[in-house]
Amino acid sequence: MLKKLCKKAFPKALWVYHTNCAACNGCDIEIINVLTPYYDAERFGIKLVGSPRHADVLLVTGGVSRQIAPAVKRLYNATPNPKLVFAIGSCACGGDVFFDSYNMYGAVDKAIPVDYYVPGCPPRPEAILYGVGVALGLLPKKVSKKVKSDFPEFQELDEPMILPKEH
Amino acid sequence: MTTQELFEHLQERFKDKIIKAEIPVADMVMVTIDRDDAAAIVRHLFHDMGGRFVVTVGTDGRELGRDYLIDYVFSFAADHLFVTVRQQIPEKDLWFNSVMTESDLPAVNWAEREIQDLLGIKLQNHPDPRRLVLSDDWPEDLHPLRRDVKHDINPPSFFENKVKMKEPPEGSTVVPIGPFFPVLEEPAYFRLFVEGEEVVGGDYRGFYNHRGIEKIADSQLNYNQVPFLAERICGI
Repeated sequence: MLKKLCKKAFPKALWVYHTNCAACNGCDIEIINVLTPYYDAERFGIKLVGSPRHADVLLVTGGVSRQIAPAVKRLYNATPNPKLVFAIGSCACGGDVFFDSYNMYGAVDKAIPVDYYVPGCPPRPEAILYGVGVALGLLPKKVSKKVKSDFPEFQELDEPMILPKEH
Repeated sequence: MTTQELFEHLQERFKDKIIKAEIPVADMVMVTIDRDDAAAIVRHLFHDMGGRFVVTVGTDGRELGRDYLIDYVFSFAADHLFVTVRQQIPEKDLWFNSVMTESDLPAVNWAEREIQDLLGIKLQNHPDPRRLVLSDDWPEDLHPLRRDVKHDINPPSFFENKVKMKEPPEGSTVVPIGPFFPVLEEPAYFRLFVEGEEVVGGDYRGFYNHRGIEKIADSQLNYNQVPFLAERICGI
């Protein structure tokens, strides 16, 4: 249902706003990396904007600290509906090693509703692109692990190679 | 200048003020001094001898029977020497003098405010003793880096002592930036006071991403596990 809604609500270019709440900059560099010409997220119509009021998608990195929690809630309210929230990185998904620290409010989903999680410390640019692609219905979701035995045409390659005897 | 020469120089110059002077390792002179005299020796090391100010560290040494310790570390890079100026703060009487104005060393500003926040040693004679590190809703009398405070305490919100930002000078306009802004590398809040095109002043509230890493490393992990925590933090 969410996929249908996504297709209806976000049919064209997606504008993302990058939000750093108490991240260490590792995930932020990877997000910037996604937007550079090498990975070229703009071919999917993904564009970085400078204000949450222009954004369709919030890319949130880092766990939410006590100090930033009220601000990130205000930021969520400032983003027009419909909106998607991506939690990028281990800290944003579950708090990582800082999850029970005294100055932490918790993972991002404690402060604002999160739609998609991209774990990793930091996630590779490919992983972020893959997550966004799956979320927008551009890519099929990986439901089960495919192994070599599922492909009959590759079976003969699995036979052990017989090495020539040494003379 | 060798370690021994520096040691003798400091002992001679601050004869009546030094409580204890020692050479704990080959390239360091450690001088223990009363908290009222710290500014004089810091001034001498920084301005007269040209030492580089490295860091100010506050330590809770109560478990080791040493009260609270505040160390100002200076380096003399050409001679491969360090000087540590140490003050011992008794637990019953927790305050220390800022050396910022008295010895004209603006670099200690944040370090001293951090010690006030995290260890609860009251800062005196500081031009700007506002809260620096802890969040706005943190209670006044709870200091997380003390050894008897747990790392996972979660006190209820207490907004009474929210940090007050500076008032802009007469006739200027405030341009607020942050805490979220596309070009900021981490959340921070700047208030620029502008007159026309010219920035005439500003104020800053940072430490939005204070995660208590020191406390986790201090209380939860042992020496060999700390690199694991350090690897979770991006190096830039």
